[in-house]
Amino acid sequence: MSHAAATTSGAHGLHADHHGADLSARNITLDPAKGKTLSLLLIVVGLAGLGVTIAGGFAVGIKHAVGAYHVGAMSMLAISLGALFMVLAFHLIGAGWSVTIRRQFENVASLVWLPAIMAAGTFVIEVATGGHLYSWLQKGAQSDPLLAAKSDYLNPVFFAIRAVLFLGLWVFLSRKMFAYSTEQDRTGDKWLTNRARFTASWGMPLLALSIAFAAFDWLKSIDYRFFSTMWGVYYFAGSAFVSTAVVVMLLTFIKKQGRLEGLVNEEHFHDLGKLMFAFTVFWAYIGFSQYFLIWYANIPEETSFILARKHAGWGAWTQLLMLGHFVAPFYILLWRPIRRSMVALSLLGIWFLFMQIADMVWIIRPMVYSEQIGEYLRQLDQGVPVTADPIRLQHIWLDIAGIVGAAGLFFGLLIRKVYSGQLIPTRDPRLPEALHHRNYV
Amino acid sequence: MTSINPDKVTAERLAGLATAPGVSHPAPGTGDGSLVDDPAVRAPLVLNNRSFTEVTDIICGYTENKPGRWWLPVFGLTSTLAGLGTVMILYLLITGVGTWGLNNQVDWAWDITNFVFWIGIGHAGTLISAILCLFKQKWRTAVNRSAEAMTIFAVICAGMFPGIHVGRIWMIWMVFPIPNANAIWPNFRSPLLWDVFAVSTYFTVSLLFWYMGMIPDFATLRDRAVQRLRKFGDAAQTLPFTSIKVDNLRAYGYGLLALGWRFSSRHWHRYEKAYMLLAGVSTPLVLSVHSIVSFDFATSVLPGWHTTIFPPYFVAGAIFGGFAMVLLLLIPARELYPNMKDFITLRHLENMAKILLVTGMMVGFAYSMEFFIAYYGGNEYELYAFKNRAGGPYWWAYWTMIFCNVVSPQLFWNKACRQSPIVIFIVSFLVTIGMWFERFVIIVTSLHRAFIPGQWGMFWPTAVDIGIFIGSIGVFLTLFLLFMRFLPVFAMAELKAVLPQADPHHEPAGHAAGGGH
Repeated sequence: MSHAAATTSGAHGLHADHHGADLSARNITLDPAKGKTLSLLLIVVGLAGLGVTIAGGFAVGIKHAVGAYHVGAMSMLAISLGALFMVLAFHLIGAGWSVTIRRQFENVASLVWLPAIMAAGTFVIEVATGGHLYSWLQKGAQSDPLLAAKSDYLNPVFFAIRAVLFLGLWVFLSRKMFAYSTEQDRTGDKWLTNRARFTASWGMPLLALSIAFAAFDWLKSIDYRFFSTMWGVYYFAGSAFVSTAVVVMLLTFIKKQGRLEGLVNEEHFHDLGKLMFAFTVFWAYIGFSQYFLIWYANIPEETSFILARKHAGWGAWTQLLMLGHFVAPFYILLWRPIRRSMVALSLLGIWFLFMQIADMVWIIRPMVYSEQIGEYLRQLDQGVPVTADPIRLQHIWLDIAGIVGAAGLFFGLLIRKVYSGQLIPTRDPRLPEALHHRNYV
Repeated sequence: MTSINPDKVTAERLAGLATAPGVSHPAPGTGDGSLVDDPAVRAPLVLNNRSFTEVTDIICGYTENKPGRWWLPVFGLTSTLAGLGTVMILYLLITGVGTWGLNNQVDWAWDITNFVFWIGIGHAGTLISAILCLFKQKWRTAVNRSAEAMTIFAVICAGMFPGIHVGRIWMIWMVFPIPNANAIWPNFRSPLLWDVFAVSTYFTVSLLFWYMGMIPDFATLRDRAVQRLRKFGDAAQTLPFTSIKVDNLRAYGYGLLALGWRFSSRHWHRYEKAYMLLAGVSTPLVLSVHSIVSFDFATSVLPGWHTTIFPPYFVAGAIFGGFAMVLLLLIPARELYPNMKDFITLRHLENMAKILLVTGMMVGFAYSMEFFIAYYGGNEYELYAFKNRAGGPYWWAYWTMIFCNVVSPQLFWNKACRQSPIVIFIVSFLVTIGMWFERFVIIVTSLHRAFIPGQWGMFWPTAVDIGIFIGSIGVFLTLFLLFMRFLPVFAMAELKAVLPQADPHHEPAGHAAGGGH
């Protein structure tokens, strides 16, 4: 081919094998002007959502508003952390097929600061208002021997120090990986790939620990009595699950605008579909193991978490998660044509995003009306007519506003990020492998 | 006919006297040539520029030629150990489980430790074969066959222990759901029963997977035997003191196992499909088996056993221990068998060393989570169980486990260490010890202190305990040596598929500059 012959010489030696892949600016960038409008729109929606949430805090109750806000922040955080994990994993295992899709993971990961600050912000609000969601911050809680036993870990100062450490680590790692990748675009230095691999090698264990402890702090400690060694893995499983789905949607969005022709094709979507499938199953495996072991041992200090979500009016929601987070995607993604269709995968991606939010709602929302749940379970236990309403479905607009607030800001900034740079790493030494990627030769 | 009668160049290369045409010495700093650090270059999976014929000759040669002088003494040693174990088991069955060191307090110890230890080792085979196959990791071709074989043998060793630890072995049929006159049914809500199903399913599928992969290679061995019979006629080699031709035995034996394989494209098509399906079925099986093994402990309310992270933690530990065992077997093998270093390169070893590092840190993560939640949970018994592990009478077992499983793999952060077969071998050895101790620590330290101090006890193994465990190692190694002697040690067809010349776009060296295609 003449194209290959024309580029074999000189500084672009690494690009000799692109076989006519279109790396022109038209194919690998989007028009930033168009992105600005969309991004601005989303950010405005997000700010409006936040505004409504704040208003709801005054109108309905601060606990409900904080809960709604925290659901949004933790859902968006899962997307970013999952993407950061994927970027590190791609570098660690030296993946070749994923080069052309990696930049989108890097984009999503690089926004980790926003949801992380938002989620940490929950804590600031909580400290300032005397602890509504984080029950261990309440005045009377300190007299509980269960809390006293863990107060060396669960106290405001150490909690804040940890939050800063997590935030610092995630921001550093995501920016570093993004910088390696974009620097390679500019300089074409193939050894940056090895430096990225090195950063990923020590970053990965730290990321694993930080995700686990962040999940303990920011989700589990809402009910300080509950504990489970699996908790960190559970949050991670959801993160990997939703981040892949978001990147699939992002790539479809870009492809629909006529970009990435010949660079990202159905072979890449097929593998992303397999990853979605794998993480669906992984989440179910982790979720089931955690549930099953608590159910089987039946120790009251653990079962309270499950009981509140299984019986106290949240049973239908639990079943929705089982069906929607696992059973349905499992059977749908088993079908090969689905995994090779970017439209079908994106529709599923929207569903995945919804399910990740539903998972966070499942964890956080019952604690918003925990007194009612306690009352409900007490009435159930004593056999008296049940009058407590543990779900409290009124003011659902407030929950939606909290989620829309975080999601609007996150996706607004993400769109801006996507429009502002190259859509793929163009000078990665393994780019030819991604271009020639085939699932079955 | 080169495959049975190699030409001079091939013969010299097989004997290691000549190097491949057009292959220069590896660049400095790349070890055997497979340790390329350039991200733009993928390391070769087979070294020394082997041709298809040479691959067949070398691999079939392992079973067709006489093994090295080391083989018989080593085989003698391992089968003696296996015999010793058998005698110990017989003694146990005749006398009763009182011959073990078990007592009222620690009523589960080495038997179940050994069971979980072997089951764990049995995981790496399917991991390498199935999961690496699904991930399209081509480097698996170097190790998948021997790892699968190891799986089968390890599961056999594992299966022995539940059988003998029931005490009255003649009642073992009661673990199966067979209705009987007394209307005693197995307890379907017991994870111990699920174990029976999980392990037997896993064994069946692993065996099918292993066997199916070997069918084309059996056909190759069969065809080579037939060709030799035709070529040499009456002059063919016979078994000592008889007139039975060895190749006749091979032709019938391998022929039977090859199930009429004729290398037709239709055969290959079905083979590939079945292989992919089995890989897909095996992957959840790997997870389920060790998850259920972990349920044996985690469904209880015993401090130290009941933690929710057990299922993935046991799976990670199993992969960890299994890879260590693969390395423990293959590092000596590649020294002892001619030309094996061309197939199991330093890169393969480095990859597996990295997996040891990753999975070692995963179990380290689980250890720390357990400890943390023991504190965070605020349950004094749970916390005591863990403090007792680290500082109680079994502290040495706990710290052996930590040192072997968490500390020793950290050597692999260093490039020189993870590229040195001897260091990898030593670490793998330590990991194998550590993984045995992990199970011992979990089982015995949790049992030996009950809630009432009057029920505190200690476990010390007896000669029968030790003898049976050593016997299981003997059984495992004996079976593995027999595998190396009589079965195709590498998946020849798959190995050939990763050779550069198998790629339809491959251009022989020297012609690559001629532009694209």
